[in-house]
Amino acid sequence: MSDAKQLTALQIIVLTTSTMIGIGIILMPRDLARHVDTPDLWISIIFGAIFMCIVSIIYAFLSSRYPGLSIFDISPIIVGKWFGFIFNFCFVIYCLIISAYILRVTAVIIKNYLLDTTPLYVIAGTFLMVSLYLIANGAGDVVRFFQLYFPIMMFMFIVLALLSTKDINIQNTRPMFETDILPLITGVKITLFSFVGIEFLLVFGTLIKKKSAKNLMYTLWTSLGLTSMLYILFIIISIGVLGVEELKEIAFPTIEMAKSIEFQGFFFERFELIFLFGWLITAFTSLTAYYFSMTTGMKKMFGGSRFMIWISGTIIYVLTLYPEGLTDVFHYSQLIQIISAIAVIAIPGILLLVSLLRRQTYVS
Amino acid sequence: MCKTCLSCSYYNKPFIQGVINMEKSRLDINEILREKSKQGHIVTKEIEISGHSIYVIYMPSITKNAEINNSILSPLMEWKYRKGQTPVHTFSTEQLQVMKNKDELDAHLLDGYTILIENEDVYALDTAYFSHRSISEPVSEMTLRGSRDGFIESIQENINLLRVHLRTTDLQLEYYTVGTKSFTNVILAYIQGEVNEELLKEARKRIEEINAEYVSDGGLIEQSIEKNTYSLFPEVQGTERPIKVTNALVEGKVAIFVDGSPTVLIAPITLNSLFQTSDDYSFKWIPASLVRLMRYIAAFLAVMLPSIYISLISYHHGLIPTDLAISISKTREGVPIPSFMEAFLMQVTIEVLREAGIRLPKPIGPAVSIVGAIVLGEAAVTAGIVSPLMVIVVSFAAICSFTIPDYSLSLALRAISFIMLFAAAILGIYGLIIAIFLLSIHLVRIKSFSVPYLEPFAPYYYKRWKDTFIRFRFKKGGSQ
Repeated sequence: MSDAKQLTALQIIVLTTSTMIGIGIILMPRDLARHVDTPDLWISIIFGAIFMCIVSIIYAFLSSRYPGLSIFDISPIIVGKWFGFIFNFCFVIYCLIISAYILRVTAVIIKNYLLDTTPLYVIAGTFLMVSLYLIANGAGDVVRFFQLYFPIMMFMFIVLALLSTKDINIQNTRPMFETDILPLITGVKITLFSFVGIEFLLVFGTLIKKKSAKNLMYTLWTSLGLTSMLYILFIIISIGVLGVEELKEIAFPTIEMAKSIEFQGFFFERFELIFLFGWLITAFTSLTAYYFSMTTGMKKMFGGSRFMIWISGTIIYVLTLYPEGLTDVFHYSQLIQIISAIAVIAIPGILLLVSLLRRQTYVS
Repeated sequence: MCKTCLSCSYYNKPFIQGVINMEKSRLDINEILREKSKQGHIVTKEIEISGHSIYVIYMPSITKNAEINNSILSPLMEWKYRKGQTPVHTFSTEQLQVMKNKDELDAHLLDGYTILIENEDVYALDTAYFSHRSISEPVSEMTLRGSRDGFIESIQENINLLRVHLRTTDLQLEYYTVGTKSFTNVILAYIQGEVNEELLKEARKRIEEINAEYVSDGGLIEQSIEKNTYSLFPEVQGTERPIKVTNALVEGKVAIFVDGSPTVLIAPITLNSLFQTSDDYSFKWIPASLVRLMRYIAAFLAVMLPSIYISLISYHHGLIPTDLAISISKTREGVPIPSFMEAFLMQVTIEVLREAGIRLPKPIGPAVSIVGAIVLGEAAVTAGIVSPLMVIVVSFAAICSFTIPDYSLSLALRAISFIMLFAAAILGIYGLIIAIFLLSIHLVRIKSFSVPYLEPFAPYYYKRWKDTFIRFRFKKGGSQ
C-alpha cells in the first residue's frame, strides 16, 4: 500500500503547509477586516502564527514520544480504550466537518466564478471523487501528490503577488501601527482558524519515526512561518488593492483582488484563472488531507475495510450539501471554530499532559 | 563462468574443466538418429574413421556449409590413431559441448550447432550462421549529433554494438530463455556496482515470470513484464540506439535484449527520462536546456491546447481579451457545429493522417500528408465546416506532439488529449483542472520497477533536478 517509510523534514513542511493554506486564504481577510477594521489587521496573523507555534510544540512532543504512531493509535494508548475512542471520534468529527466546509466553500467559489449554471452537487461530487481517487491507494500517493503540486502552487501565488503590485494603492494601507493591541490579539481567534492543518502531522505520525521533538518543532515552525508569510503578503495586497472597507463587504476578497489585475496585450487579459488554479490546488490538498485523516480514523475505530473510504466520502458529501446557502454555511463557522479548538488544541494537549503525568513513552 | 553459448544449461555456472571426460551423456542415440533422420530439414551423416563410427547432425539452413566442411569434416577425416584417443579428440575442449539430454540437444541444433555422436557421447560444435541486416541508423529515433548506429535483429550483434560503446569489465550479461515453444534468447544487461540490487532482483523475477509460448519481439516482452496494464504510460522504454542503452546502464538501469528484435528495453524509466534525448548531452548546456524546456512546453501544449481553447470559447469568453474574442467569434461565424465537435473532428482527422503516413510506403507517405494537411484543412475552412483558428490550434498541437522523443509516450499523450477535450467540453476550465488532477494522481501512483514515475519531482530528489526541465552543465573534469 504505502511505500513512503519515513518522511523528511521537507516533506513534513510540504504536507502541513499544503494542508494549512486552503480556504483560509480566501475567507480570512473578510472576517479579519470585520473584526479588526483597520489596515493593521495583518499583525493579527503574526499573533495567530505565534500562538500556533506554541501549540505545535505539543504536536512535536507527542509525535516524538510515540514514534511511528498516528493520533488514532496514540489516544487509546494514553487515555485507555474508551476515552481513546471518544477522543478519536471527536477528531474524526472535526475532520468530517472541516472537509465538508472546505468542499462546500470550494464548490460555491467554482460555481460563482467558473460554472454558474452547473448544479452544486455535480461540482462537489466531482471534486470529492478526485480526492477519493488520490487517497484510495494510501499515504504514499498523498505525499507524492502534495510534493508535486507544492512548487506549482507557490509559483502561482508568487506570480500573482508580483502581477498585483501595480494595482496597489498605498493610501489604502495607511495608517500603519495605529491600532490598539487588544483587537489585534482577539483577532487571533479568527486567524487561528487559518492555521489549522498543522495537526495533520499527528495523522501522518505513522511515517515519522526517527525525529527528535526539537527537530519536529523547527520543521513545524518553518511551515507555520511560510504559511503566515503567504497570508500576510496576500492580506496586505488585498488591503492595498481593495481597501479595508471593501474587504469587509466582499465575500471572497482575494479572488476579487486577483480579478482586478488586468494586463493589456496578453492572450489572457485577466489573471484570476491563474489564482483560481493555484487556489484550487490548495483547496484540493486541504480537502484530501482531512478526508484522508477521517478515513484513517474511521479505519482505526471501526476496523480497516476498503469500503470505509466510500462511507466517509458519502458522509462528507451529504454534510456538504446540507446547508441551504452560503450564508447558512457561514452561520456554522462559530461551531466549526469551537470544534477546531477542541480537536486541534484540547485533545492533543490533554493527551500530552496525561502522557507526561504517567511518564509513559512508546518505543517501537 | 561458462558463457560460450546462449542456450545450454551451463551458462552462469562454474566452468567445468575437462567436461568431456567427466560427464557421460545418458541419451538414447538410436532414438535420436531415428527421429532426426526422418525430418527433412535436418542432415544426418554417418562417417567411418579408422573403425570409429561418428554421426554428424546439423540443420543446413542455419549453418555454414564451408564451416562444417573445413573445421569438422576435414579434420575428422585426417585423424590418425593415437593411443587412448578417439576421433573427437581432434577438437579442443573449448569447441565441444557435452549434451546431457534431448532438450539441450534440440536447443543447440536450433542455435545452428552441429551435433557429433561418437559411441555413447553427444557433443555440439558451433557452426551457426544466421542472416541479419547490416547496421543502419534507426528510423524512429533521429539525432543530429553523436553515434548513428542502431541495433539490429541479432542479439549477438547487439551485444557487440553495446560493447563498442561500453568498454568495461563491469558489464554483466545474464542469459535467459523465454517462450515455452520459441526458446527466444533474452539477455539482461547491467553494470555491476552501478545497479541497485533490488532493481536487479525485480528484473530477474519479472523475466523469469514471463509465461508465453512464442516471443518474437521486444514489445511483447515489454508488455509481459510491466505491471500497470491499464495505464497509458509505458513502464519500460524501448530504444534502438546503443548509446541510449549505454547511458541508461551507466545511470544504474538495466537493459533487456531480445533475440530477433532491434528494440532493447530499458528499465526503470521516469516521465522525465522519456523527455531526454542524446542530443541534449552533445550540445552546449544552455541551448540544449532551452530545447529541453521547449520540448516540455510542447508536450504540455500537445495535450492541453485544443481543450484550453474550446473551454475558453465555449465557457469563459470573459477571460479572452475583447478584441480577440470578437475576431474569434467572427471566424466562427457560419460554422454549424459546436466547437467541441469541431475540435474533435479535427483531432480525429489528424490522427488518421498520422497513422496513414506511417503505414504507407515511403514514396507515397509525404504526398498523403500534404493532401491531408493542405487540401483537407483548406477545403474544410472554405466549406465553412471548421473555423480557421481551430485548424491552427489543432494542427499546432499535432506538431507539438511530434517533438516528444519517445513514441510510446507520444501515443499516451495523444490519447490523453482526447480525454482532456471531453473534460473541457463537459465542465470547462474546472473540468480541465479536474482532469489534470486525475492525470497527476495517476502519474503519482504508477511506478516503473518500483521507481516512482514522477521522480525526481515527486518525491523530491534534488541531485537529479539539474537534469530535468533544463540540463545543467557537466562538472569540469568529470562527466555528469
